[in-house]
Amino acid sequence: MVRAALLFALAALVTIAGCRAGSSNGKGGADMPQRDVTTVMNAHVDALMATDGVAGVAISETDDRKPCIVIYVVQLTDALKASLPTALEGYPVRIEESGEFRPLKGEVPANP
Amino acid sequence: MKKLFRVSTVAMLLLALAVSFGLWGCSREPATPVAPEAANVSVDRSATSPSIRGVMNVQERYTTALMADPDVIGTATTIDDNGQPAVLLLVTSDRARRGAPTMLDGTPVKVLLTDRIVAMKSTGGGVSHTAKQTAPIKLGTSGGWGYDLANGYCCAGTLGSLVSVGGQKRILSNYHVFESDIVSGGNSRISATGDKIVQPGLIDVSCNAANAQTVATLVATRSLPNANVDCSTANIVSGMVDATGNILEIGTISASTVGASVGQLVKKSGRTTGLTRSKVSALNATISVAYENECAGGAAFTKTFTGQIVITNTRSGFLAGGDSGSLMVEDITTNPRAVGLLFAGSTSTAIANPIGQVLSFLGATMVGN
Repeated sequence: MVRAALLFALAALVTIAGCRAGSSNGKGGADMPQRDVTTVMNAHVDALMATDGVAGVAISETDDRKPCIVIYVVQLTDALKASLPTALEGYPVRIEESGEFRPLKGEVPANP
Repeated sequence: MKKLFRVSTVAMLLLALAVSFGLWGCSREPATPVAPEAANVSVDRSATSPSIRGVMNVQERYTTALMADPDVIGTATTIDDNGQPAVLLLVTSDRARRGAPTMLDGTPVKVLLTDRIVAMKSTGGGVSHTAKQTAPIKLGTSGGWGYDLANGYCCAGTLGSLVSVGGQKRILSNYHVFESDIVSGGNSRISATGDKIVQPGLIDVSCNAANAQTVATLVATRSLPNANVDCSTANIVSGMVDATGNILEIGTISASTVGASVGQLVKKSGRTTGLTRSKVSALNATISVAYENECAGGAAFTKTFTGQIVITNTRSGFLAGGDSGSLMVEDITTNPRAVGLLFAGSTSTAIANPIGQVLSFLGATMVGN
């Protein structure tokens, strides 16, 4: 009887811990990284690029030189910020307002 | 045995508790997952935003009175250190700085002590990147397709560097500088192999090709929209291009290349901003870029590039319109190695194709030492 109660308590604790770990997944998850950052970015890039207002995704470093993922957005609105993850599989995400990426050719009127 | 069971069970419970809290701790989001500078960027900083327009009105109302002081040399609308729209006052003396108002009609005033502002004809060292050069020309200069005039506009970019393809020396620039006219459209012409490549580009000769010189002939390769690089080359006309591959304000480069790394210091020599320096801020970027079908033309296609190099480009200080085609090299003095081919960007970010991908696509090597 005692043994059963203890096993139940143990199972409950593990379940609680698992839920907590999973609770951040709505924003991308912030567990310790299990995969390298390139693999993680590649796994999420299509979904991110399909998000309206996202102009690009890349890999960079945090101030303390740890790998992170950068999401470039055309214009950072509150709604867009709320829809983007703050971490992906343990890697922090940095959001940068880049504007649109354009070819940088020069263009002037022929008859100014 | 029963006692042993109880002890081991308690130990297991403690272990489970420790593991649980450990997992809980790991699951927390990092303390600063978003860069501090991103926190304030939701402020609409466009000239059409009501808050910016309001500050511009205040600025205009007070400019005459403020500039009555000879040490106040300018006003502007800016964003202050708190991320709020403010009137910027440019002053040349500490006296004027101390006497400046802190608020104007409830709008904060930011004061900047500066030197007198003088006109700057060229971008550095007295070297012009837009003037017609005496042959053989150096690269890092204005240039482009000789017929890049359509829809009431002319276009150009940068003749960036020299490559060798099968022993033949060619100018390297971008697809969208040399051969992106793919419809008859506004000039009844489509770019083709053999077309003239001119220096300077049409935008620097009042859109009149007769005032430029032909330095190369196009080898149309149509890298886009299919390939992952925005590049094109042109065979040099004998005697018209420095055969050592000398680039204005950079000089000769190395024949070998180097991969990009985050934090790497880089420089480039281009038509619009001349010699500029920056650093690589991110790698392996996936980005989308929209292309036109001719100069000032309609939409051609949107290309999604992968594996690109991202460079810091604060207020277009590193790369601006007209710099496309510039070669990005490591920031060392002697024979720097090529890192990337610059082709796109925004006012905060520049993008380069990794040079290895460009050379591989073209079957080329850099001309250098």
